[in-house]
Amino acid sequence: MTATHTALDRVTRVPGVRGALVVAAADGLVVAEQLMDGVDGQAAAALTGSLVGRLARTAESAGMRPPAFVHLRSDSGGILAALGPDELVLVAVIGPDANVGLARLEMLDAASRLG
Amino acid sequence: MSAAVPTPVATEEPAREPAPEESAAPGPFDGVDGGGQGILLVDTNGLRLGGRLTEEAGDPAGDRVAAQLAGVSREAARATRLLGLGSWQTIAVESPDGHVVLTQANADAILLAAREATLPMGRVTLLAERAARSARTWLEEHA
Repeated sequence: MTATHTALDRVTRVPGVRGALVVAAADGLVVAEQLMDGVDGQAAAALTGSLVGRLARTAESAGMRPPAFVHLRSDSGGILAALGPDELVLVAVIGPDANVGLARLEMLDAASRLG
Repeated sequence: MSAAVPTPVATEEPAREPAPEESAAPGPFDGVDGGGQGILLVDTNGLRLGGRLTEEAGDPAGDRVAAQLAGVSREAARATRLLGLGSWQTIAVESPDGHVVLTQANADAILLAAREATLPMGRVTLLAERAARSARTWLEEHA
């Protein structure tokens, strides 16, 4: 099993996670995915890639290094993104009942092993 | 006989420079504990409406950050809508150098709260939510 698939496996085992994918930040394309039915991987990849890129530029403008982790919280869940090496981003789509703390820890560790 | 030329009388207090509008007018975060710095209110065009990021004169870093935030609300709304996640509430960004939380003050303004990385993200989120409530009142008063 590759590092990418191990990362996806670890994240999707967290309660409340609807799916996870590895995205190339530069172009927002899916590198690998493990998603529940009804989750649009292409949309998640493109939109998250774009948003993370903008937030990285915002952090840079504030004199900060690029973000390691991003949590977009919404009415019915949210999106988590952990930045890994080689401009890869590990993304998770979560429901409202997800264990965000556990997902964050798994994602930070798994993202550091990508590439 | 010539009239005496009146000698100019020196006033005790020299004329004061007008204070910058930013410090004279009530700001959106006046009542917020810790609202003096590290909080920005930005409109959808990337212009700073209030608050400041740094103590530097004119806060150029705040203006640069504001410009980057133009359209972020639309982008976040699009992402959550297309993924069936409803409306977005907050975006928490963890950098090794600091924690940043974005939230909507209203449909036309976004609020950013930035703090050092040692402050737990939950505390930064609470600060952002308090500041957003204050900003909402300020925006209604200045609409």
